[in-house]
Amino acid sequence: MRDLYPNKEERTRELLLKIKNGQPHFFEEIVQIYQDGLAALARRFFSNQQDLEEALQEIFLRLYQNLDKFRGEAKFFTWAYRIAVNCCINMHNKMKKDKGVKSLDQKLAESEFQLQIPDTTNNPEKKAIENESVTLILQEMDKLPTKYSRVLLLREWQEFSYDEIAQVENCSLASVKTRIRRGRLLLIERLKPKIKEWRRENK
Amino acid sequence: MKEKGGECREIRKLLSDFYDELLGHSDNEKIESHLKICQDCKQNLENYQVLSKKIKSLPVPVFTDDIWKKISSEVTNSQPIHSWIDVLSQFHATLFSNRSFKFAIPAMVSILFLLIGYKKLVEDPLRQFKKDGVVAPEQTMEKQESFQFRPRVNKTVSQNETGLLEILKPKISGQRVLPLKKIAIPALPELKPIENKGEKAVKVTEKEAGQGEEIEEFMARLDEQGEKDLEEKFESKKEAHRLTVRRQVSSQPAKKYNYRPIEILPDGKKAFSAAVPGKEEKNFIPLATVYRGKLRKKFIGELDKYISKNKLRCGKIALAGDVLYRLYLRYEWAEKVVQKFSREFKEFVIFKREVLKENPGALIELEVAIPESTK
Repeated sequence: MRDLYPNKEERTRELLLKIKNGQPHFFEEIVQIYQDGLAALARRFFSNQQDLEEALQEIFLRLYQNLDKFRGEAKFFTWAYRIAVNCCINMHNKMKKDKGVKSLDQKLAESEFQLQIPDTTNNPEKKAIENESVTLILQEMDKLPTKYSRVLLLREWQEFSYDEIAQVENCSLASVKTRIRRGRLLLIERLKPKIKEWRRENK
Repeated sequence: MKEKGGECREIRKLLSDFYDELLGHSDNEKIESHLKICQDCKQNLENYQVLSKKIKSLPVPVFTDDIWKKISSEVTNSQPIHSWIDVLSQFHATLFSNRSFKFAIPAMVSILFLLIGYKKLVEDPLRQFKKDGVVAPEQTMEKQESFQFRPRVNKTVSQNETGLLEILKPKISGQRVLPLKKIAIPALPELKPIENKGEKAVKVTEKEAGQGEEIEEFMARLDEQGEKDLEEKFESKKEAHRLTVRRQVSSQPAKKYNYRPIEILPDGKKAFSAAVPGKEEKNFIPLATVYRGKLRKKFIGELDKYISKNKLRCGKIALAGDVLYRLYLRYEWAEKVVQKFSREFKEFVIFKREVLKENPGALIELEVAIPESTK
């Protein structure tokens, strides 16, 4: 992950102090610091641009409302991640209820028929997508259960250690290991036709 | 050959941890020496490298609008709310400096709960109805609607208890308000285990099994029956209608499949295979069938048998939650069954599922993918 804020933990603490002293506009910087990480998390739940934006707004609002519950024992991201995951799950369930089976239908349709023609018309990353492989990986990641894709993202994209992932995901080290292993196996299994090519490129 | 397969299996288990350098010295040496001999495992390791490289290159989601702009007004207009925990903990600290109010906090909390409970009791909107069993005549329609209950598919309650459970449901017809009626929740149909255990599934040649049209008829019949079932199940037609409408939405883009019947299952029902034209023809092994949304124990039993018979170590169903598409309409618990099942096994065989688009959920076929090295 591209880390633009090398000392973000210290900076966050400073900002939190300022916010507590009645300067809420400093929350903007917190949004900037953590937006990418949390957006990537929310992206695991919502593949639709509109839903994703809504989710992210909700997450940051929720963070702000709960700021005073942050005790500073863990890293801020760890704490924020927990809130964000819960927020995403709630919203996801709510949408599922509202949209009913329709969303499931879309899911099915995607998995069955749009395999050959990647449809990226409504992808949040559409501006940044340059090559085919990114599209394909995103597609397959969307189909994984989020518990696998979340952990994979933390490991590979955010370059977290296993301990950190366990903390953030609030589970044991052993289950982090299994989730990563399964996630990798599942992804590789699904990307099988393409992965040979990529291997050659790699060499 | 067998020995090598066994070793590969072991190595494969450790490979992910090996890639992340989590293993001890002895394991590392073992794997390194194996990788020198085994080309398959070496490729697997390379797959991991490629995968992590690709994931690393994933872009950050791009937003058209600034998130901050959208929430800034709400944030700046409201101060962070001091949580109850904060207030209490401060209070707690001061109390404990005296050491005389050790039980003050629990007592306060319990009093609070009592108060809340009393308030709820007083405010309970249904109390009046429950007492009289009749809707008060001055009740307006609007208020009525807020008390509507949906008949719920009860997933946690056991079969014995369902008879006891009753829900209150006001029925509204036209302008007249009918008295409340007590309606029993319909019990879920029993799950039937396979009766003729000894019988094997009968193989059918294509001639015997008939052509695609026949199967479509068969599917249509199943659908009709399904509608009737729905109406029986949910006494209110409205509910049933809602569900059927949903289902119609679900089967929009009909795509032609090449049906290929494969076998007749012990209970005399047919299992079909379906291949999308244009796709490579694959050998499907139908392991489970679900008709009209009735999930049978067979689903798990057959898989189980297949696995033990072929001495496979397996498997989670890929995307367990996805499988029960149409079942989801009626039985939410069915999803849990599959998830529970998938938790019982470990990797090495990955199940893929195929769901018929025309009648999703009516037929579920699972394809077993066995990794090359274990074949």
